[in-house]
Amino acid sequence: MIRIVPYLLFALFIYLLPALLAGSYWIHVLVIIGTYVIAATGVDLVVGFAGQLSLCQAAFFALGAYASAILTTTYRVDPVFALLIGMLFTGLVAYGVGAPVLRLKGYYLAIATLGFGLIIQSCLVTLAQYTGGPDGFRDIVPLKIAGYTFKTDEQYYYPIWTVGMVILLLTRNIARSKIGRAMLALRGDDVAASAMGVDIARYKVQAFVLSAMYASLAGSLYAHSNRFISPQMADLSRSVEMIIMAVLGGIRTVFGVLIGTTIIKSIPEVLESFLDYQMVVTGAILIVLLLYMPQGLIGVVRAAIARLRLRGER
Amino acid sequence: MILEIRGLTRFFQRLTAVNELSFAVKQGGIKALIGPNGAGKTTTFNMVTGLLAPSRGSVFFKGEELATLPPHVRARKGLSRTFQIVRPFAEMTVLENVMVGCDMRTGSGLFSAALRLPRCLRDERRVRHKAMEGLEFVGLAARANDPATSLPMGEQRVMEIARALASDPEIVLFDEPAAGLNEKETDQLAKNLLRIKERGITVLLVEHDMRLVMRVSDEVVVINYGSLIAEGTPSEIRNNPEVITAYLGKS
Repeated sequence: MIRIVPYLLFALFIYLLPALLAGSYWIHVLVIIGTYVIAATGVDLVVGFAGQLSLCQAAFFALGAYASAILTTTYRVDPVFALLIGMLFTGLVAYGVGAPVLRLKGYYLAIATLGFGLIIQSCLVTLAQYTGGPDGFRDIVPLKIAGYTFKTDEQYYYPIWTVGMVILLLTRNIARSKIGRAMLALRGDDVAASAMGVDIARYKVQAFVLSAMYASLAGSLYAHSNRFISPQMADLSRSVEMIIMAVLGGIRTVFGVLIGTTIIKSIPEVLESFLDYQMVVTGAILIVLLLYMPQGLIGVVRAAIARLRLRGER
Repeated sequence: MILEIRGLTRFFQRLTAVNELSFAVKQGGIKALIGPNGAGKTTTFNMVTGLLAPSRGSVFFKGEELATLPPHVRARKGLSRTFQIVRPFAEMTVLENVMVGCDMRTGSGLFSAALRLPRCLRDERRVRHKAMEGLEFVGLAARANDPATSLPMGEQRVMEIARALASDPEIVLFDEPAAGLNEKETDQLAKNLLRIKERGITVLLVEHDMRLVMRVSDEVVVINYGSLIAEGTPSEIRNNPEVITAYLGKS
């Protein structure tokens, strides 16, 4: 039971934060962070646990965003219903793509998912009559739940972070069950996992489809809160960015995803000229991560604590 | 007969690695498959476990043809294995490694896992308990919470035995379990093999270490150049002239 306390404290902190930042621009940033936490949690599942390097998570994000934008704004579908249709649709697409593609390994899988992401991006550009083409989709109707219309960032903050924390909790539960073990086992050694009765094809597809549905959910929330989307959001650089969000803080940990996403989405706000160097900086972070801290920031902290303890024992 | 191999043949391009091999494994015994290097032992092993498809012939498990069933289905039917070069699951503890082996016997799925429903919690407790029992059986309980890859190679092998037994299999295939073990560890392995047999689990042992084979086996099959050259009790095999020639060469 004591283990619940940090999570409750965290939830309390999240819900009180807007009061501390009232009127500040940071509410807007936090809404974006909350949205991407959902997508990055999915990345953690497919890349961190199942070990499948997927480079099309931003494409799933875009699918959800465009599904919501088109259904609610063009066809006047209820936003919540549209969001669920988007998740279902994106899940089905991920299943159709994943079943054959996840037989590939390592670089081949990365290239195949990268190719799929490019296809989605060019579809969004080409199908201009529905998507608005390269100029993007403007004036998306706001989110409406049970008659209440969300307009300001302060209003979006609560539903987005509530969904985000629920997703984090459910994913943590999945990760600590036999499903998480099966995914970690197949990441570690697929031949041995298969010999121990793990249906590796099934768990790979399951992780991929779940991550796609998370990304779609995040995309839908982004579309409503931002009210403008463009094919740019399906770009490879965005998929790479999502992977960094999942890895930077600490792979396979709830708080790791939160830390990673917060850092990546805060950098452009702190460094104004960052947009010009975005690719350079994310690239540099990725290299440092891979070379010096494969366990992320949490891993660095844990190692430091372990070292201190060892010194204390002496 | 729990396991029957009938006319099993495998070509690699123009090389015949296994040629019309037929033998059977009796329920409850320890059968060893031996032969000089390159005789086709590992190829046979991989065809039985489903890693490699036979060019011809078939494998029957409890009277059912395994044909093209993937390894995880064979495992669920009760056919388990260990590996010649240890294959621990990295980033997992010793206990979690063994739990993966138990997991195929529980029914709860994604939904109950995500919501931590009582069904899932009960399965978790049962699997943890079962895995711990397995570690106690092989004498590795003290290392349960250590990362699997931090164990010395000998102990990783012992962990693989617990992992292979975790699903209550009917037969366990051991692929050269004594390779790289010292004398003491090999002695412990022999004792474990006999204790596994005592539990009513059939063992098929592919092994180089003759002393181990002669000590634990009820029956021995000898293959050379992919074909069966002798089959019998350890003492029959020891005195078989063809086996002696195959191992020592003609003089």
